[in-house]
Amino acid sequence: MFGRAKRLDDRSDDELVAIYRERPNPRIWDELCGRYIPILYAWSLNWLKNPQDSEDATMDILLDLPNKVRTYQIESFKNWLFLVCRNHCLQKLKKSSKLRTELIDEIYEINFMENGPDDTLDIEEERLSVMGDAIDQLKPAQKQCLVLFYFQKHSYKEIVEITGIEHSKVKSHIQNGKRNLKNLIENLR
Amino acid sequence: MSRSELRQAHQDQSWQRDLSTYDEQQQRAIRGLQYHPSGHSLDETWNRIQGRVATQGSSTSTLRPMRRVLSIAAGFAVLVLGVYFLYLNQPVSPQVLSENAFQYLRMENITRLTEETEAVAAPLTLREQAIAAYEDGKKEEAERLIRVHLEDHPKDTEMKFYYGIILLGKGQADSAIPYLKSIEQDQSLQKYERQHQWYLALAYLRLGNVERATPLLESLAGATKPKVYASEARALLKRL
Repeated sequence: MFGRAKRLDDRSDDELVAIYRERPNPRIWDELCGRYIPILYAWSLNWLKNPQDSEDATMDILLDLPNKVRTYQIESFKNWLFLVCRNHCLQKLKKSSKLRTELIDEIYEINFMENGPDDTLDIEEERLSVMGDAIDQLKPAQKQCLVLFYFQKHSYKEIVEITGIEHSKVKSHIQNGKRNLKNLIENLR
Repeated sequence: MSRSELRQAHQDQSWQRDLSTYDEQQQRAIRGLQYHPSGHSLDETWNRIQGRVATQGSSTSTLRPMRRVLSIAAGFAVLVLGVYFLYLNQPVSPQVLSENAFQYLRMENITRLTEETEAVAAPLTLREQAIAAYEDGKKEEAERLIRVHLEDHPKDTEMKFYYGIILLGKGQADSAIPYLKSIEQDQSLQKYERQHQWYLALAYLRLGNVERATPLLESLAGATKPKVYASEARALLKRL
């Protein structure tokens, strides 16, 4: 009758979400944040490839969580959070005009404005996701230069200072990287 | 994945291996970690995010009963007073100040002596291997590689300087000082002038030698251009 209440850290994610939906409690939200900050940050890095943007994305997702948790039906919190993170990051990438106009359009040779169904990624987000995965497969120097230029938005000069690679080689790594990226994506189709 | 698993994956650079045994969520987490800056602690990043969320989240919380707010404020006031009398009011030792202020210097501006080419898979020199290990956060390995490199290249004062930083990071301030000072003789390495003053000051503080550290910190604090380490130096001087 007077059994000891379960500690928060003994409760599963889905239990905590269910309790939170009935009785919003900052301690429950703090517990969930604590559990998911590391993996949210890692997921964000996977798509955004930019540590600062990934910190911001993690924070934005967690701050919006209380509202979303009370709005949506969630079967598995972790799987749902993964999708929330993916959509948030791809939306963020879509807003990067440099990424869109200089990389995506060139790689896919299409200037698209199409949208898909609401509950799935639209075509542009799908392409951003595929391209991000393909970048991970490039040679280290090409990957590094492409990520520093398009995702971390450094200038050529800054890339030279960060990597120690000379200016002409940075340019060729970016050009060769884009060419190889295109081939990788073609092979995935 | 737990914090320790992610930490381990970052340390092991697991993204370079076959990840087919992991599910999609785990694969994406591991692959994402390759973009976390090497040499930067994951725990520090996570704690920073937690702090930002706590700060901003408290302003959007939906629960604001006045009694709860007042009791939290009262508890916080007691905590602050307690911390002040027990901790802040006590002098902090120079050794602790030095340890807390220490961070490994990134190798962004290091002189690269050889070039990497796509066409030729040239073996990396010891120096390049040491730089790569250092940048990957593998300080023990970097220390070993630099030590071997310096046996054949005793005049490489730039690498001596970074060796001194590694020794200081391990707490071996007395061994670090000669290496940190070696850069004073090399006019071509003026770019490290402020870094040299900073790390030497930290080394002296680690040994409890405030008299030698203070002029170095004052020089850093008073500089107007560039201001690298100026605010850090001022913060340390206030606590000494």
